Amino acid sequence: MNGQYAALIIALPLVSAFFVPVIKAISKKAVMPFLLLVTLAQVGIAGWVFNEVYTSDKPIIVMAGGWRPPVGINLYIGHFAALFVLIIAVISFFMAYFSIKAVKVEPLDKYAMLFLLLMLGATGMIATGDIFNLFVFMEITAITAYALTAYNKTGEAAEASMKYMILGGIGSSFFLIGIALIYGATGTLNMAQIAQLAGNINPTVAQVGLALLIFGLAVEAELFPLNAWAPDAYQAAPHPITVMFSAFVVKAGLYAAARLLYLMQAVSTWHSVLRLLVIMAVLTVVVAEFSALRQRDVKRMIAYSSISQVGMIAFALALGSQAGVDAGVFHMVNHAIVKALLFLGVGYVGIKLGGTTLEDFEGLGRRMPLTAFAITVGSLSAVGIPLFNIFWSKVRIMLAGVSAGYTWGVALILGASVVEAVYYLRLIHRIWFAGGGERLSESFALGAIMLFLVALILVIGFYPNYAWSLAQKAGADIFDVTRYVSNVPLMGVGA
Amino acid sequence: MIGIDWKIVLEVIGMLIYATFMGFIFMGIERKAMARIQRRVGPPLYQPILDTLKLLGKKESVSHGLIYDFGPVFALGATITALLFIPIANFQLFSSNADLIVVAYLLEVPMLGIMLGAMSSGNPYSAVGVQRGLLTMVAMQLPYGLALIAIVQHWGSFKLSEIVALQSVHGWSITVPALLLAFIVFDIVFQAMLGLEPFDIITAPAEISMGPMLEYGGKHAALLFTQHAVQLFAETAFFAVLFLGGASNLIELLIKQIAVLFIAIFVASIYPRFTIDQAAKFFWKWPTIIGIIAVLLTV
Amino acid sequence: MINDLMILIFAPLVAGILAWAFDVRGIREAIGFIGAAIPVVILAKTYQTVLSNSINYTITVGGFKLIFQLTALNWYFAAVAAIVGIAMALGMISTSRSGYEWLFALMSYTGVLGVFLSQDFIGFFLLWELMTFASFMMVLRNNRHESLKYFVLSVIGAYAMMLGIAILYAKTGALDFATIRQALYMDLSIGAISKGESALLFVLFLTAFGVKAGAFPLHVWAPGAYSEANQSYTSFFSGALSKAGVYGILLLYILMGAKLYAEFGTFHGHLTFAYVIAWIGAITVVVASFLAVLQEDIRKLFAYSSVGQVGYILLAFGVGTSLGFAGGLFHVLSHAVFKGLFWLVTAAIILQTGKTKFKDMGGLAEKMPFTFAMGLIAVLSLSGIPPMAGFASKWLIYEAAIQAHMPLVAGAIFLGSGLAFAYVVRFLYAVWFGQRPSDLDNVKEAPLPLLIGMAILAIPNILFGVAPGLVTEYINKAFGSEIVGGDYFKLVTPTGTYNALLVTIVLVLGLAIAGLVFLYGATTRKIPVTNTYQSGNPVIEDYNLSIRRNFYKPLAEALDFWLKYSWDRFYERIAGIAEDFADTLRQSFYNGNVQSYSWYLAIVLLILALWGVL
Repeated sequence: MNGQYAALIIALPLVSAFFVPVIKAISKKAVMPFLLLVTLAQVGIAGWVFNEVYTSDKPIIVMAGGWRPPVGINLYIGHFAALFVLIIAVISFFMAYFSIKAVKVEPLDKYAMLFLLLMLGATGMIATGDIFNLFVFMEITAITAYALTAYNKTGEAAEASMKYMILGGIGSSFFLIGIALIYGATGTLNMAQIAQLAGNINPTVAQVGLALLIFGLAVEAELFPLNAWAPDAYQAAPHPITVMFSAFVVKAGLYAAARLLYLMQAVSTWHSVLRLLVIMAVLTVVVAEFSALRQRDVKRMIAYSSISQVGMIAFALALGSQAGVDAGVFHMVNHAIVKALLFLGVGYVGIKLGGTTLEDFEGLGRRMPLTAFAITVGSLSAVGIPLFNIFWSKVRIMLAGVSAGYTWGVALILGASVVEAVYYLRLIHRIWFAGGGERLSESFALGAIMLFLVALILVIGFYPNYAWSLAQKAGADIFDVTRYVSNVPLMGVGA
Repeated sequence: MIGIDWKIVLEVIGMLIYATFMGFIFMGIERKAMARIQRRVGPPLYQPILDTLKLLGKKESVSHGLIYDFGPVFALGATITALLFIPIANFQLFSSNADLIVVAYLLEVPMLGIMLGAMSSGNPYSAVGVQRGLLTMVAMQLPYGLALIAIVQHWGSFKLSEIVALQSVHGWSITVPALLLAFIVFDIVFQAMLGLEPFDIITAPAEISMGPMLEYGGKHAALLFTQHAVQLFAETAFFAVLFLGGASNLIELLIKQIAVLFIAIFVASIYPRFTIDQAAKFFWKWPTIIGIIAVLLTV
Repeated sequence: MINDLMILIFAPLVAGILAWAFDVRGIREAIGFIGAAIPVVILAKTYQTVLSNSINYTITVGGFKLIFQLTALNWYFAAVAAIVGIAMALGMISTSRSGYEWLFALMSYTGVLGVFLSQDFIGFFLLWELMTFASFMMVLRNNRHESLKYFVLSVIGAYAMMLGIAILYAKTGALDFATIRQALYMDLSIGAISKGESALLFVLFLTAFGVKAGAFPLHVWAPGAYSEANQSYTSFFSGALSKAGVYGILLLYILMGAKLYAEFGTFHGHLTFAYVIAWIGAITVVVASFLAVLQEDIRKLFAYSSVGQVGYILLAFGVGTSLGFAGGLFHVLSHAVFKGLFWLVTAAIILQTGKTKFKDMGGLAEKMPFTFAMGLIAVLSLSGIPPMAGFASKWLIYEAAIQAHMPLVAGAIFLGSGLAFAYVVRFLYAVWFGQRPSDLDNVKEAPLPLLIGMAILAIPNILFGVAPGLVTEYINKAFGSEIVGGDYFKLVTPTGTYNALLVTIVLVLGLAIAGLVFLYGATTRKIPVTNTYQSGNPVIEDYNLSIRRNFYKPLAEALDFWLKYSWDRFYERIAGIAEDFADTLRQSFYNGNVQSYSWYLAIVLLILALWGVL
């Protein structure tokens, strides 16, 4: 099949989102099943794309309107994008099902629309090859995220959404200024061409442009101290949305930052920017872990944990070496699976038991054993116990970190990991060895989803070879800029 | 095990009889000397032998079970074992097969036997005696070890026969200044090993009436007395071998042993009893410091 | 493709998972026992081959090459672990009530075997973490606080190891032992790793292995963790897991010894880095033994005792001579068997009486005679009474220390032995002798599987005590040179001899003579223990005639200056400070105020500007 059909991964959710009011007019109850269907279709397309890219080893370039870049906008679906688009699609599908159970607040049709647009935004951010297109998709993601954060219509949700909006708005504005500068200097908006031209433009402009771009993305990517909105937003958003935030929205931001960073390697202050990012990443990890230690609300605790893991990914990506990027990508994949599982489990407990405080989790092992098992597996993986998937990616990150010369950073991250172990293990103890209660019935389908994720964790944990090879290819995609540039059929127009 | 060396067997039997006999005489000397210092007449020298024979001759004795019986037997057996590994005068016995460390440990094993027996007797005073005995042992281990280490480091060998041989060539151990310090330490420890004042807290006659051996009567007590006798002989011989150059014949050894014994008796008759925590604190202060100096001098 | 080594290492894990899945009493015990027995069988099978050459197996996982190898040296460690493992399995058949415990006990067994057999750092680290995690889960079930303390300290050690591994990887580009050893050896001439970095590596690895071995001052987790796990498991925990730490120190010597020697030289004729290890060992021995003497709870007493005894091994390795290694390795075996035996005995006592404090026990020798006999064997071995295995290894360590002119360290071991004697007698008196509390009158002997387990551990004590040459001969072969001479029954070093068989024979002879004297005397009349000297009064039940509490109070009084300081309290205080710091950190940064969040953005922009980037 023609590679151009890959454009469906963007087109399908977009069109379906606008069709939702029509569906609602037909039948109110059909909205959620429609959502499920669309996400399932997305999974199918993403799976096909993934297969295409990984068997042929060539990226799929979709040129919008047939215009060749840099005149037209192109989508660049390389190894990384193919992998992540699949992950996004699968997790969205699971969350669509979870939303049927979890989200009861009206108006559901708006929810479905926003859901599809969020998925679209993240997919777009990852798949695009044009910087302004990236901005557009980033804004789509951000705005739907603001709305979805406030969806539960509680005071807390409104406040969280407000904070997110303010900080996100500031970040986006600076990002736009950065784009403007770069466009002014290079005359092009295409990422591949910018990579080619970055070394030739006025160095100050390049420096400022890069710094502003990264700054803008850092808000979305939850780096310290720009991530202050995150704990509130994660806690207040509906449970499926939190999963999506943690599993791929933040990853999209990180990917975009990494992509832009590596594309603009030729900038003279590149190493300073890297160093700053490393420091911010390490601080993200440390502050987030410590903040999680005394939390009484489990969802917030896991939100902090998610932030710190994202910090580790950022650390790996900012090392500036192939090994670091590979490790970061591997951790992105593992983290997405683990956090999806954790937030799903915690969210389900929240729905069933009406809250997610520590007291609600006492004796969960007896009341909801399947969910408790899933949460336990998720927690143990997050800590980095061997035979679970995060162990492998953490080891890779540590090795890459010290090889790149950031021994102190690795030491601090390891210290923060000790703290992580403490609070997760306290949670596990509370789940299994404290309190008791009688057995509640658990949803079969959700249980199946959780078990699937658990199985994935264990399979990667025991035999990571396949996942590691995927991560290596995806990492090469980001790191190897010359190949990226050579793959894009530039027309040679512009400076 | 066919070719039994009859010479060894005869030596062993002879040595055992000699040691037991002399041990009793030492006990008698102890009592007599103490009495004379206290301006009494005192019992005759062979009194302990008579006491033991009397005890053996009792018509009946009581027992509290297997371990109670086994305790004194084990204690005596271990003391005999210890004795046979010390080179006595010019009789090597088995000393080439076990060295200083082994003998030092074997000399402490009888304590375990006595403790086992005392514990199984169920008497609270015995238990107090056990506790005090153990704490005394704990307290004295450090200086004891340091003194032994000083000896070994100086002469460069663990084997007792070699130490004796080296002393006959180079002179007695106490002629070496570092080893003189070790001698002083060992002498203080020796008081505790013999159970004499100021470290006789283990028996503490006026307080806990005989300590661990309280419940024992009849043949058990006889065994214990015999054990004490042999132990006395073995320990004084050990002291003489380590510090006073051993001996080439039994008479010389006897003189050295009695000299050592008299030092112990004199010290014992002057001092009152230390309580156990005082004893511990004492042992860990000056004897340990002197021991450390001795050891560092011989490194 | 599945090779003996893989079966050896992973059979227990698989068995554990199966036992957990089929949680039916009877089936899970059987599966668990088979899982624990398979390593023993395979090790027995490979005994002959490892003496001449090694068995290898390599597997590539996630881009890392994991290498496993069975050489003469790690066969020894694996064999020790396997003996204790099978005894543990037998003990757990009696004392364990759930599949959960089987899963994690066997998982840690796999971890230990894997640690011993790994030849590359990733496999080593993976299995080390697995081992720590599994043993942690065993403790978590019973006590959250202690298990967290254990886990935090262990994980700090493990992460220190990870940091060390990463530094070595960055410097040498390799993760397997052979290459790293070669690279570090060649680095002596190149000098790419500076003195500070060598010191850092040394400290990191020492921390990692010291935590597991329970070296002072990282020993604080041991009393709590050993006490709060299932006691049959603790026999493995204390008998085999601590040896992983010791094995790590040995690895340190093998991999980095030459480099550390070149960097830090010698101090008064001893290798500096080895001297540090020896002193750590000596202090551990003294401190832990003193604390053991003062304990009131049987489990804590043995826990401190374990810590102290492993200190002996560290000390022996720290002496740095080949005799020291021989002594240390022998003590690895002796400690594993006598400590394992002690914990099984404790498990039996707790199982049958349900009591853990000394003040509740007494007079059990009549009711549990076989357990008592086993306990007595363990006591003799631990206190180092010839002719038990404990004495043979202690003798070697003494010889090594004094010969290497480390007198103060040797003095510390003397003190340690005296203390060992003291606490062991306390155990004997409080549990087995004296007046029996009335609620223990119906205590029965321990169940058969436990007794078999105890017997399995008691036999090596006696066997290797009377014939210590068996072990030293193996050690000689493992090191390839004649460290300790003599034959099966006699140990001969350049400065001393110990003929175990002769000592045994003479001891038996002495006992015979004493026995003759005994029998010559009058017949005995047996009377009950309560018929004691009380001025003719009959003894009533609630009149306590045994000293079971505060047995060593005078020692506590003598030491009360030193007892005011405690590393345990120090660590707990640090943990408390960290938690408060965590709260403060969170409240200052994530204070909920969006204006301050906006200021953060402004500050970052400012930094970017000042950094010269903007």
